[in-house]
Amino acid sequence: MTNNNKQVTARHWPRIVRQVCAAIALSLAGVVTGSSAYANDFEALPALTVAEAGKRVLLDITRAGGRLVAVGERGVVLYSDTGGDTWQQAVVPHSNTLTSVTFIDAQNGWAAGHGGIILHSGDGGQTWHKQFDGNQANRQWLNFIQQRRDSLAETIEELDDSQQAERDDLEYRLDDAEYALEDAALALQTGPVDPFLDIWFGDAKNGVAVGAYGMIYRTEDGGENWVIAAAGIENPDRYHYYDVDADRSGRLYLSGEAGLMYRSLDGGRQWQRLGPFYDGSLFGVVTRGEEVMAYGLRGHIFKSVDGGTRWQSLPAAPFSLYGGTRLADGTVILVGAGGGYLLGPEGAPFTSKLHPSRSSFSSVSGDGSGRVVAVGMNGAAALPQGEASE
Amino acid sequence: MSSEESLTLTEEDGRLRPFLGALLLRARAPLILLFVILTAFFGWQLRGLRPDASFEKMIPVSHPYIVNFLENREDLSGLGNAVRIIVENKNGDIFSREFQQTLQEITDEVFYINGVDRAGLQSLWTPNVRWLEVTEEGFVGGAVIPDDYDGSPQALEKLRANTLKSGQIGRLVANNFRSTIIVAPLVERDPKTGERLDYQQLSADLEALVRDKYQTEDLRIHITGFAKLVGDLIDGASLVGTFFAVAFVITAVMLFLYSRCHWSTFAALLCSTVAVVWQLGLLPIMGLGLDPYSMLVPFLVFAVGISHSVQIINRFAHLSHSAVDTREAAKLTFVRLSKPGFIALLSDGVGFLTLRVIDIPVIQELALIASTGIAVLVLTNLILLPLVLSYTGISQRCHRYRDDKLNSEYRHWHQLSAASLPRNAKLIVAACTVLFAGGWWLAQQQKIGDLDPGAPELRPHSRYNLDTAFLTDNYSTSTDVFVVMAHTPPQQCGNYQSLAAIDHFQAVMENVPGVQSALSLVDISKLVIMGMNEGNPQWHALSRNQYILNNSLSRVPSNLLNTDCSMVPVILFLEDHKADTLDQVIAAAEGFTEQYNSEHISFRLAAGNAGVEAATNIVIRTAQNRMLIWVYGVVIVLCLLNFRSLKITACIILPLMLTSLLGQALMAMLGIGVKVATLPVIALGVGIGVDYGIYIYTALAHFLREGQDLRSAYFSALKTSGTAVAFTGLTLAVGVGTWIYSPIKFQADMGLMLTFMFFWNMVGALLVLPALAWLFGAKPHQQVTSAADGKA
Repeated sequence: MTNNNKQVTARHWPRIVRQVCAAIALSLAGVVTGSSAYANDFEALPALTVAEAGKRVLLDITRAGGRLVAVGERGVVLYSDTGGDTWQQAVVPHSNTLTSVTFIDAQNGWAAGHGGIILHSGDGGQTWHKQFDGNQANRQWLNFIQQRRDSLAETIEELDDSQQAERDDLEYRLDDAEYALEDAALALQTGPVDPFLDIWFGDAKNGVAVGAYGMIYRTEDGGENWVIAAAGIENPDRYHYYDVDADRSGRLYLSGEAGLMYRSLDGGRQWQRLGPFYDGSLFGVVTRGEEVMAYGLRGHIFKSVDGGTRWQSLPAAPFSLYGGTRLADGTVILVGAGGGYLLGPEGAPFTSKLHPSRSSFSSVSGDGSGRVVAVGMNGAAALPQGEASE
Repeated sequence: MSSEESLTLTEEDGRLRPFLGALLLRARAPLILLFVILTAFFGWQLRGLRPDASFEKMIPVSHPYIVNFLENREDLSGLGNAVRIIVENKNGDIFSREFQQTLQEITDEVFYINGVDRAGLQSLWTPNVRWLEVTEEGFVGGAVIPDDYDGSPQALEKLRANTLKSGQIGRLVANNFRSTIIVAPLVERDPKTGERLDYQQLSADLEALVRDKYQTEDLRIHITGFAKLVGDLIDGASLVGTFFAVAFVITAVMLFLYSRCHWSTFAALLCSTVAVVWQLGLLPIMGLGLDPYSMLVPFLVFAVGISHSVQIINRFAHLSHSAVDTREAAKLTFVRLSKPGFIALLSDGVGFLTLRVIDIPVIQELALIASTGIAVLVLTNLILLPLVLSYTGISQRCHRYRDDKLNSEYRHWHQLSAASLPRNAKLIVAACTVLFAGGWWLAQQQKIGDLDPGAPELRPHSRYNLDTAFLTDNYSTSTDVFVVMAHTPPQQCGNYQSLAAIDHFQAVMENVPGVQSALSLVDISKLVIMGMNEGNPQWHALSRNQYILNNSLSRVPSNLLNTDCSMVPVILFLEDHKADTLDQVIAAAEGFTEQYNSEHISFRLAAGNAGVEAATNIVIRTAQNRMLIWVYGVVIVLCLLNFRSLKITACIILPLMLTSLLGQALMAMLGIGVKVATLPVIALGVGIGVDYGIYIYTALAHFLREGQDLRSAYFSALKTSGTAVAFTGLTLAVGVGTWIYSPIKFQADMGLMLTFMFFWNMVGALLVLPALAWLFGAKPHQQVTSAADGKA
């Protein structure tokens, strides 16, 4: 969060000085990126076909009907109709590292990842095409900030002298907006930087994609158009968003860095901040009926049974938790650093296990027929359930 | 050469050689004194003779890959010059009180060994091996050994937990937790004295202070690393002295059995030994050391010296026996043998010199040293030996033996001479054709490069290679490393575009069969970015944000980029270093560079042991044919000059070619690849082997000219020079044959191949040559005008 520090230290400079600086920075950025414009943008190349694909870094896994689909480093998308025993590689037009994948049925799925890319598949994950990328995200963000700046400036213009306190506050926010605008302009020059960290769809039309530095985009047409949704959520420090999940009643939960927790009752337009009940990162949310659990750094787990109003802390796992899923029988499985994972059958406390690979897991999914596959830094691994594995 | 040798000077002897001979014998006392003084001088020079295993000499220094590697050598020096000491608990895992105590003691011991970079030393007991964890407040961490470690079960449990968090599994701690490594990086130069690291001393220290001191039934020590390899190589090479002694004794016994004369035996051994002393003494003067390849040369010089001595003592004994006084006999010996001896030595020397066309310094040096040795032999064996003999004379026993020999009927030579009869000759030619075809077919399957796992210099079951195998079996590491250097403009190596290109290159290379994994600062960058984001694997990726990248690169180990950030080594870990594997790696990497090299980033091959080996293979593949063309070209020209007949030249060269081909077939059958060590063997074999043919055919031509039929002429030729040729073949074979028992694999391969070549060349000259003579229609009188006059 280096840009935050910069904002604090330079906040009291006269605005004109900062605008000059910004202009210089922008032009410099133009020179630098212009001069190092490479012939090759490797992320724009189709994903390589990889040998032993099941052993490569894989970051997310999900179910598409009876099929498992996993995504990972350099645009690798794999699918398995054998519960993870054998994998086939999908055709992907880009090599961005993919962090997240979701399917609403056996055919339709979306994947998102670094460089702000969003891909769609209509054939159960075998072929993919691009819907959105970080350049579009950068432009939308720049417009969004510009509008915010303009509206703030307008509001200040309209204030009269008696509202000095309010004016100070608005000027302060205007400064922030100016800074954010510089950053946004720079980001446009730099190219698609920030990763999406999760993508979620409620049905074939409505979806939400969230990611680093407060990235949040919505679609209402199955991803044909992705529109910035930052207006509906308060995140002034631009912390990362990590995970979105819905409970049985259609309430949406969003977790993030620095203990961020939000709830949306209208499919992701407006988000309401929950808590705070923790100050570390919450890497994931998993729901079971009306129950919602958030988990994250150093194995912390929090549970709410009243739709997110009150949260209770559960015993922490001895390792950070990066991913989780709910199986058909209601068992919640959380996976994390160093090959650690937790098994939580419905109505019972979690038991902690260690996979012999000792390599960090990022995500986990059941295949619908009783097998559970985790993915992470060492590729895919079947997780034994029930019996002790340590 | 003549069976009825004239005891007085004849027309054939010319005028120069009798003059020189008389001069030499008149001055024999001062001359011998001069030889004594020179021998003492060269003997004194031996003090400066150092074993030398310079890595740089064994590689093709002008190949583009090696040029690239040498240009970046300083920047790559941090890669891997470390010794790894693996401490294994035979009875359980490493988390026991006793084991940890020993491990601590060994770590302390290694810390004080000369040459170890103490700041870089790593083991579970050094403070630089840490565990790290991200908490809500930021990073927390500590040394893997808990501060309050007391050996209690609780402390050991804490140690186990810290080890897991340290990320050292597969690196410092074995995947099965039964062993752990002490990594000792080495300093190339002593910071105090500025002297180069003495690998042999370091290796000896490691043996004495670590392995011998701490290894028990329950605790095994394994040591790997380039320094240990060099140490073991030099240790192994010191056995060469023993081999020389064995070869010396066997040769002495054979000489005595051949001559039955202790004086002749003594004189031949003395002069050949003097040649070896001179040759070795010349090395420090020429600024050379004795590397494991040039150690072959003293054996060759000694053996060649003995084989020429055999000619000389044979002739001297003959002349002395014919009642000429020893002084006159010595003079006549010099007069009669200095010319053929000189021509034979010349062909040896020139044959060796052709090796200089191979662009690998160690082979070029071998060629130079061997030629020098041959030049020395001209002085010691053609001049000194007759002088010594003029003092010693021959013993009485020798006289009696000569009588016996003259009265025998040379039955074995008589039988052998039947090889020139049409029926036998047809059989021999047919058999040779079959051998030729079979050899050709097998030779096609000859492999380039080293074929065994582990360090190719040592035998597969040597202790070093077993230790290396233990390392690769139990840790996530490979010893076959291929490095590609990614060059950028200065300060640009950490750019997103540079890193993305490297990342893509790694992805491409990881798909090549035989490549286990790839490593560069890109991996470190990704790991640090992931670490800065609380270890979440979703962040395991490069960022286009230069601030984030710079931050991620601030902790990159210095060996993963150079000082001005213009070169990044990309390390490919391979499954093995077989030529096929290397070819695939090269093809893939070259393909990538063709497509993506630009002014922003260019990937250049190749460093690392596998990269060097790949370049060596390329050079050797082309050098093999070039060398064969040269060496055969030279001996064919020498033969043509000497005999002025294509048919005779064919009689001499064809058996050599058969031997060369069978040598290649043997290599294919035994799984010996063509490599730096085995490449010179064929040239050495041909260079020396041509002597046999020249001697035999010279004698044959002489008797044919006298009007004998082919068989009688060949029988007479065998009587005069057959014994000497057979003896020469055997002494040469014995001289290098002892090498087969060398602990150094390439010396053993060289010894085996040379023994085979020398022996088969002799068989070819004695058995195949007469058959070919029949085939090409050698008849009495026919060659009189075209053949040389037989003086040579």
